[in-house]
Amino acid sequence: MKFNLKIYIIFLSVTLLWTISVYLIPLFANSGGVWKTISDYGYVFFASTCHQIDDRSFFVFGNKMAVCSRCASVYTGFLFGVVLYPFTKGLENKKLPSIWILLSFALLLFLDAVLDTMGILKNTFVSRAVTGSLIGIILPYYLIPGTVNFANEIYVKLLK
Amino acid sequence: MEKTVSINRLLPVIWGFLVMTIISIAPLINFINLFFCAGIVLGGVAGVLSFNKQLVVLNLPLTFKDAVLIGILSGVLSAVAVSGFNIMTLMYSHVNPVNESIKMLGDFGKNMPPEVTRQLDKLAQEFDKYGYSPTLAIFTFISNLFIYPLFGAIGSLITATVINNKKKNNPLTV
Repeated sequence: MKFNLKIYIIFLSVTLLWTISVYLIPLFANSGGVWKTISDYGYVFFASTCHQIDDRSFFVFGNKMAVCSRCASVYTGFLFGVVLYPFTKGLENKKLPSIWILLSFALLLFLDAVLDTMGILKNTFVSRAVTGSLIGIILPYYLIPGTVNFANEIYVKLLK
Repeated sequence: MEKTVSINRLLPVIWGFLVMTIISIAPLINFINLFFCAGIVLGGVAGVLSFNKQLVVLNLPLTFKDAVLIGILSGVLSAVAVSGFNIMTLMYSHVNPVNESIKMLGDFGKNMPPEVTRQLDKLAQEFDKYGYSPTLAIFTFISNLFIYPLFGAIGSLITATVINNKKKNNPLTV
């Protein structure tokens, strides 16, 4: 198996694990015993990255997701971007999209939040999901080439 | 004769650590972390930019492993500092956040299963006894030790990728 493909599979697996946990934590909340404890600590774990406000979160399996609607969209979009990456760009192609695409999407997400906080334009589940997904989908196009290069450097160093 | 070059690797780590920590603990500014941990990602970015500034002067390439290491180290230091700061704040604020949460959930009419109530009561008792909850503090510290280096490395990796891509496309400019 080619080196880049191996790194991509590891990257995809970690992303899958992270994103699925966001969906599994509310499912485990319905179960008793150790699953419930895992769910409780899962919510605490993701609390470091997200406000987890009820009114701004999606509910699955009758419970609030581990992160808010915006973060859930970023993570789901990220997974989608990672899955799409080899088909749209190819694992050998290390050319990056323009940095302005990333900055524009980040600005959209930032404006969606800030304008709402300032009371100028109220955001919705749709606006949070769309702006979150956009940044999530584009991020792997900057991160995967970097991760492949990083792994290459480590691999070369280990061989020496 | 071979030219001796000295690079300060600690300075970028300190920059990254300062950006992450200040954004995470400063009131209002820590709002930034609610966007995909943007404050932590920015710390990684700041560290790599500071490191690249030194490399440009010495005309040396920026390696991805150095960039990732800066992000991870800044993240570990910041996780320790932020976790410590949070415990101190809780101890001196004399607020029991677990009781507050239970009260809030009650106001919203949320009924919790008995085992959850038991767990929360246990944590609330810890807060009453020590001024903070050791169980929650340890778990938060462990999760911070995972999240801060991870997002710090994401920031530093993106920055290194963009810088190296720019150098490759336009080798005369830095």
